[in-house]
Amino acid sequence: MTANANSASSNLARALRTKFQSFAKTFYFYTRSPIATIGLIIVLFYVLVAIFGPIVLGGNPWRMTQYLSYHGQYIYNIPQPPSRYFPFGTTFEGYDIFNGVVKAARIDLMVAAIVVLSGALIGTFLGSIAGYKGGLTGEVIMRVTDIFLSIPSLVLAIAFLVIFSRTLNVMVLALIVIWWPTYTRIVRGQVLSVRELKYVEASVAAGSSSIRTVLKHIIPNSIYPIFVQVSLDFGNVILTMAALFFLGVGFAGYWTPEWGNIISIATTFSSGIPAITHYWWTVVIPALAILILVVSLNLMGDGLRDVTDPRLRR
Amino acid sequence: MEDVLVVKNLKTQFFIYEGVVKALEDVSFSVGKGEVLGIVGETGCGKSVTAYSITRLIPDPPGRIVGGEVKLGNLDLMRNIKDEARFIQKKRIKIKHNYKVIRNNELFFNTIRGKYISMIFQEPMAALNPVYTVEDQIAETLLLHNRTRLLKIMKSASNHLSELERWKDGGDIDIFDDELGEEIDKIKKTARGAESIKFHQDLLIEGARGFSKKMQKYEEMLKKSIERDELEDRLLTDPNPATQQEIIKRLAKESKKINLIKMSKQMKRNKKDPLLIEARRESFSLLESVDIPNPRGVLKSYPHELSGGMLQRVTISIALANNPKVLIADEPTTALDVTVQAQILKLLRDLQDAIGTSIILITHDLGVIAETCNRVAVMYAGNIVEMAEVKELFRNPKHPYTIGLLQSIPRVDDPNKTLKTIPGNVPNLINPPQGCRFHPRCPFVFDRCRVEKPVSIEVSKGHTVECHLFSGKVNAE
Amino acid sequence: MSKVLIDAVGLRKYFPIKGGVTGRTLGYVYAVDDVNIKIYKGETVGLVGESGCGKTTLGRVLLDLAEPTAGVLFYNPEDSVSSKVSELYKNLKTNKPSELKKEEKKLVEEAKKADVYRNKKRNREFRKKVQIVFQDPVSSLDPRMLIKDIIAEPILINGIPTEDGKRKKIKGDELLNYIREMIGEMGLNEDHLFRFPHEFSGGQRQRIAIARAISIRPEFLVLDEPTSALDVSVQAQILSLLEHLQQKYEMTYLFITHNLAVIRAVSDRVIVMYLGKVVEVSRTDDLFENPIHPYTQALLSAIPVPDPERKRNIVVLSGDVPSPANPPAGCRFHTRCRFAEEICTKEEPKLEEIKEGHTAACHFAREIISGQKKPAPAPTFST
Ligand SMILES: Nc1ncnc2c1ncn2[C@@H]1O[C@H](COP(=O)(O)OP(=O)(O)O)[C@@H](O)[C@H]1O
Ligand SMILES: Nc1ncnc2c1ncn2[C@@H]1O[C@H](COP(=O)(O)OP(=O)(O)O)[C@@H](O)[C@H]1O
Ligand code: SF4
Ligand code: SF4
Ligand SMILES: [Mg+2]
Ligand SMILES: [Mg+2]
Repeated sequence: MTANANSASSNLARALRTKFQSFAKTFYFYTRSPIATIGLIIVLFYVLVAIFGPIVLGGNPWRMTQYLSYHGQYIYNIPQPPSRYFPFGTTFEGYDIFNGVVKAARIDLMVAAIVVLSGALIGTFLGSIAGYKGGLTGEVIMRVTDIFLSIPSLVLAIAFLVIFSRTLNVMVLALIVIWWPTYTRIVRGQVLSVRELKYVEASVAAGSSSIRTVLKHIIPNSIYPIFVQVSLDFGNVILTMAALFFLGVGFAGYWTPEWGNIISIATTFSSGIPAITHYWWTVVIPALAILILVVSLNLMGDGLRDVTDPRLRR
Repeated sequence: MEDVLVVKNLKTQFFIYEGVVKALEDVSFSVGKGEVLGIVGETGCGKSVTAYSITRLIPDPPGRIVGGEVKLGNLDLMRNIKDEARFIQKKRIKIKHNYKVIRNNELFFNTIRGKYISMIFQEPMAALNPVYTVEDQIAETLLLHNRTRLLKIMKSASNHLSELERWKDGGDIDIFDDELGEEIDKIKKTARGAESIKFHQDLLIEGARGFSKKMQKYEEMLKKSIERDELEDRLLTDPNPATQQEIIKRLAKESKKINLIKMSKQMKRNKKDPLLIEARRESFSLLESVDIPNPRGVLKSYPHELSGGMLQRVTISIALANNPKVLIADEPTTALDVTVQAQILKLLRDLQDAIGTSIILITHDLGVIAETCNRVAVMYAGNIVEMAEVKELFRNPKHPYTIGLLQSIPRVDDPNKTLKTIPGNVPNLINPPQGCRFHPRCPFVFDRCRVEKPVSIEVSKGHTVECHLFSGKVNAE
Repeated sequence: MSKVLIDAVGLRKYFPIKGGVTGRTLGYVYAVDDVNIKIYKGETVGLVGESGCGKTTLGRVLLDLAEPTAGVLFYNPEDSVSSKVSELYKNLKTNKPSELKKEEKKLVEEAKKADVYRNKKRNREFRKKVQIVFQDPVSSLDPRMLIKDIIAEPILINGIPTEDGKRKKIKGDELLNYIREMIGEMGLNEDHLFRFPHEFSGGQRQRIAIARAISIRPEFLVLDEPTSALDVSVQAQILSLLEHLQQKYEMTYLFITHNLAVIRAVSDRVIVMYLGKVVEVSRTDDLFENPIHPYTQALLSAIPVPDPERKRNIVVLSGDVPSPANPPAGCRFHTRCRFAEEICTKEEPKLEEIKEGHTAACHFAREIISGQKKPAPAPTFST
């Protein structure tokens, strides 16, 4: 019996090894594209900053100025260029941009993760119902999805923020409302094709219930394109959030460290003077923080799409 | 018999993540003029890779022809394959391509593929372009490779314009002893009824009129085209590699000039172009020759509108449009029903009788082999293990693999036959078995098989076997 | 003769063709049209026909994987009952689904009076008794599951039969041991259980699919072209495995294939289908030695025989199978038949018993077998 159990566990190890090997293979193909690899590294860097940055830095961006005054620095209300004490400079009201940008990484990435993952979850749920059941239910789900898709996303989010309140929670909710339809579409399309495969019919022939079939066979085989979409959407969520702040409909709390918000501080307080020409660092640095992340995420998403395409796996 | 195509020690490998797939180990065979050579074996034995290697259609990456010689007449098709890439042996084998050589070879091979070697596939859809009509695609091939013939017919038709018109008015016609005469002979033989003959007549006359209108232009075109044809013919007959190289260069230069997409756009715009009219007429007559009912309807349709059997006929007609020296058919009937398979095989045989093209027929069905081929090569795991005349092979199979295959076929005509099986599967070719690659499945295996690769032995005239069982006997004799 | 296991009466399956922006029904694919067949316990019935003739659809309807448009399916029926309903169904004479539904409703009322039940509802008991093996070994196994989980799925749902005729659910070590035993019988080994499908060859995948199907010891197994995608050498292995399993577990097979040579090797009786209709039913030997229906004759003659020295006449059927969405009127085979006459284009031939145990649907069946009727000069040729 022990021998039996032993062989069973070694068999299981073998199965795990197979899984790992296929992962290693995917990784190998991924790293064959240098651009995608760079994208991945930058994204990982952002994630590290988001996790450890706030812990290491401590304090608040706008209080930093007080701290610095102990060093005998004169605190200006108007932006100061990058210096020894403020590596990224300060913006209006003595706001430390370096501190703000680092802290913003955590908020931005977290919001994006929550939005995209909930969107994907809702999308997978509704999409698999619409795809597998079809009929009236499916039709209704898809019509609603289409309606949401046809409304411009910014308009929808602004309406949400204005109607309800301008808080972080409402913003996250608004973004989720924007993002679920894409995933519903993708999952439904995928389910429609997986549904026709013979192993699904075999499962039905074995007497399994619809729920079981969907959970065991259909969803595991339809969610791969979602991963690609998730990595691409991450950047889009961050961009949309920045846009909302920039338009001045972001949530209350002026000093929230958020990349879009840091830009908007510069533009709202500059009262007529174009911030970009006079205090370039107040706009360019947070904008670059967004830009680099979004581009890297896109490179990563493209790389992922390529490795999941069997034609390119050689 | 004169050999049209000679393949020697062909070796093809695929360099993939898991390792090197040694798909072809050492393949040698030859195809005689007007012969049908069958290649048979289980899935994954390298039949398709053989065909693709000969036509240089191996996808690269991951595939590479690593060595060997393929000769079409006097022309060595694998001449500078070695210059295309270098292998760098590291932890994983790396390939450094030389793109200049590859591009030149590609240009050269475009000529070879259309003109001398044609191929038909299991999936006819793969060979057809879904966005063009059948007519466009056949006409394209004809314009590319058969210009001379089209122009000659047009010229001759413009010379005999008055007689042609008389023929159309219902009078009889004296057969001319030139290209047009042959063509009319053919029309009379293959055309289906008056309707179809009238179609031919109309187009011939229209083309002839256009030709006489712009006589000079077409005369010149014809001259050039004939020159090109002569060059191409010399390519196969000239034994001197240096001259061949010269000709290849000139041909490649000209191929560069022909832009297929531009051409077909022109075709669409200028429907009245006499050359195009002749190409259309010829396409029609090609479809008639492959027994397509309602050829006019089929010409105007797109590939996805046709059934599998019909598509296969279309690809056959395209493949045979230029009277290639060799036609390679890779499982042409595997995706079809038996009834349609019977039609297609009959068609292939008839066409072969009429044209005299050599055919390499790849299949896994020994029944198809028995009914269609003259000679058979049995393939196993990248080697040709037995080769013989078809009757000899079925009457007197020697290699254990061939015997196993023959014993495992259920027979309609013999229900009581007990089916024997070959144990196991075709091996993974990344780590193929040592020695004889068949040894793990062979019932006669002995020690020598596990270490030494058997060489080809002629057991009787024209019957060769790669198996250690026979080496002793031949030595003793 | 042994007992009837499955009795299909007036079985029809029409697939609607949806089109246009509104997705309205433009027409129907008459995939299975008025099929009446009986399958007896313990036998192997072959089902042949060209692709697109409705073989797979019939198999699926028989297993209740697709709901029939009309018709009744009896499983293990009482003779008196099924024959009564058969009589009633003979009068169904329409092929418009809406009318069919109405007419059928009346019939069902009648049937109920005769104390007949419709065995059509998906019911759990039925699922435990029937299973299917598909043609395509690639798509029939879930690529993300271990082989052991693939085989375990039906057992987890249905349990396995015990000696006293009941079923019991098993799991854990007991389940694993059960699967181990079974996989050995399939010619695979224990090592294979913890692998994923992509690591197997076509033949091995088909063995796994068979293991999954018979893991709950079904009484009736539909084999939908189980060897069509395999090489002959592997085909022979699978055929002998199936034969062994049938004897051991006393199963009834419906063996669907387009390969007549395989049919001859495995089946006791043969059903020939053409465009959704059954055109000939017979014992195997009889069918191969004296085919009656012109379609069967053509099919038989078209099979290539692996013997170059054997000369034979091939009846070449012209053209392809017509579209089942728009089947020819009268006898559906008349567009390709060598014997067709005026009447064939108008009147549909009935399936009649021509000889003992040999039925065919052709107006001239008797004339053809007695040799009175000569075929039109057709494109036959010899090799
Ligand atoms: N594109 C490819 N990449 C990797 N391996 C390949 C490729 N094409 C063919 N092979 C390998 O070459 C061998 C022969 O394949 P093939 O010639 O297609 O067999 P068949 O005899 O069925 O036509 C197989 O082992 C296959 O795995
Ligand atoms: N789910 C489906 N929806 C629509 N048409 C179908 C469906 N399944 C099969 N058909 C059609 O029914 C006909 C018969 O198909 P099938 O039973 O698969 O034939 P066979 O198995 O004999 O090849 C075909 O014309 C096919 O296109
Ligand atoms: S060489 Fe040996 S193993 Fe190979 S086929 Fe001959 S007897 Fe069998
Ligand atoms: S009924 Fe007529 S068309 Fe149909 S098979 Fe018989 S002879 Fe042929
Ligand atoms: Mg192949
Ligand atoms: Mg089928």
